[in-house]
Amino acid sequence: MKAPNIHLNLLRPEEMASSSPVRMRVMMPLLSLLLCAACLVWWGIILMQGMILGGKVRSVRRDLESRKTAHAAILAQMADMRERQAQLDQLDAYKNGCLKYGGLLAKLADVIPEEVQLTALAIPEPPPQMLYDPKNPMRPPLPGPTNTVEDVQLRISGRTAATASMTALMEAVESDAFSEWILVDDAGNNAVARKKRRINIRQELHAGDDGVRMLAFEMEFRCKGRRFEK
Amino acid sequence: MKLQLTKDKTIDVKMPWEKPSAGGTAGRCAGPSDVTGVFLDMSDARGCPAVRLQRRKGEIHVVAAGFVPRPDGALPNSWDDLRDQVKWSLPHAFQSSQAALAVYSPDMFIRQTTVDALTSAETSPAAPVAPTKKKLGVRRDPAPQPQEKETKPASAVSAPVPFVPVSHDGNRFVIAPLDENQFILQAGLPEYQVLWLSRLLPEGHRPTACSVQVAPAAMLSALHSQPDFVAADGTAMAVFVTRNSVYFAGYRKGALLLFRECPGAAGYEVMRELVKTGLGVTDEMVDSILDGTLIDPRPALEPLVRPVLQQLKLSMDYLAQRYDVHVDKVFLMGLPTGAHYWKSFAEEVLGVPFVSPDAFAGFRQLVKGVQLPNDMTAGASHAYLAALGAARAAMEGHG
Repeated sequence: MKAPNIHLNLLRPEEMASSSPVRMRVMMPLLSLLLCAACLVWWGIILMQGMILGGKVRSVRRDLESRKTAHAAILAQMADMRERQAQLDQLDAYKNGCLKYGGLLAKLADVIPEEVQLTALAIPEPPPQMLYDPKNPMRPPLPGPTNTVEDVQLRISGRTAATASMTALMEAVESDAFSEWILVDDAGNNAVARKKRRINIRQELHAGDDGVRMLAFEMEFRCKGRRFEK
Repeated sequence: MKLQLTKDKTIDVKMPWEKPSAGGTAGRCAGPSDVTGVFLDMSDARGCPAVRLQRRKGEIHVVAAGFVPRPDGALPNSWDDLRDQVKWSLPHAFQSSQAALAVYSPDMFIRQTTVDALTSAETSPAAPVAPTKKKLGVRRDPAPQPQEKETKPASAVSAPVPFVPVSHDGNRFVIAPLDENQFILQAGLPEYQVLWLSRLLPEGHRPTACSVQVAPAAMLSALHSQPDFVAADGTAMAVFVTRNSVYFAGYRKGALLLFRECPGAAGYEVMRELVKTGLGVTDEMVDSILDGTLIDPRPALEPLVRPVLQQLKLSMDYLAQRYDVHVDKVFLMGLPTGAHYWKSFAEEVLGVPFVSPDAFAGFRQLVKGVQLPNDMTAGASHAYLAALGAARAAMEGHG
């Protein structure tokens, strides 16, 4: 017996109510309302935060406007301060670049042989530096040299009758006693180093009044450089 | 998955994991597994018979049975009565998720007809039995008909789909094909009564109505659970005796072939009245006389039972001649008392045995700790027949 049962149900599916206490037709509008309310609150919070931020921006802008003059003054003062500081730095650099040769001259008097007669003792001026901007000559000159290191030479001119005296003078100047002023290289014994050291040696032979032939010479020694640094 | 949008609007959403129902509306749809069947009989002073059935491991268990208080209101007689919608709640034992309501209404109709007769313009006169017909010895409550029902002629119905409710001419009906294709079984109620019943059990409270059936249609489903019916391979004749009517149903291998209301016959209320007046006894004595054998009430019963048996014989002859179905057993269902007198009359007139089994036979696999009412006799169990059938039909779906 496989005959199906006859269920003559007069109820339509849409008329069948749910027995669940949670009714979708009630819950869905409620949830929708809650969702809408949450969205409104969220948007309200965002709007309020935006308004607060807008007010802050306006306040900051007003504050900036009010401080613009003072700010410009401060900037000008800072620029002036930087300018003056640069000048001070330059002065400090010049101060540090000031070399003293008193000791050198005092010691030099002790080592000059008796047969040597000095005719000139000089520290030549360095070549003038270009402190003006060649592209814009109307611009005020730079407060100091652009090179921070400047070569310094000691030029000794004299005459002597004996070559040995000249050599003794030269070796005395190159000794450790003058290492404070004269640039002495460890490899000073070789010819190249000597050439660097003695920039120019000139010998002139002519007879004096007494008939003695004199040797004129001119020696240049490289001194420690002048450093324009703090 | 059903999604209820509004109170009256439910949409069916097919989820990917849900299996499609076989054959659409014509296929068999599994119903709920926990259903309370209620026979909404407003005239019974004891209340409404209710049965709660549960399907567990493929078997149907009776979880609770008893009479529940009637709703505080009667079935509406017109659209105007719909304003007074009654809310009804069942006792705790019957609060399953869903309920199937079997209803007796003077305005209901259930008949065997054809689709052609249904769809023709002159449908109503072609119906074999008029729904509100004056019966022998009893006058049914004069149900006020809607005004338009009397003035307007019956209009044609487009071909209805089986098991799909159709609203037409103020009524709602549903049809089911019988074993022979040209015949259908049509059952219906006035539209306002269906609407009233659909809202009787309020939403959000257990149970809510998932099925509304007319009581005779629900009784048909109850017979399928009877072990004797199954043992007879579903080939039998059944006589359903209700309070006011008698119905015949013929089956072949469980499939319904014939359904008709016995013309000119009244139900067991008239039988009790005949015994009471014929023997001159009180109401309290009637049941004991009909159940016992001390006083023979057959002379009083004969005017009622013999015409019924003659009509039954005609129906059996019809089955034998048209379908070559010879029944050797007749099930007498729904009769609370006096079944053995019907059996004796049947043996005289038909020569076929009448069987009046316990209505709970086939269901009596009780859950532990739950008992049926103590005074339940086989006859008394028939009061639950419509409730049982309604619940069983709802559990098994349609098909």
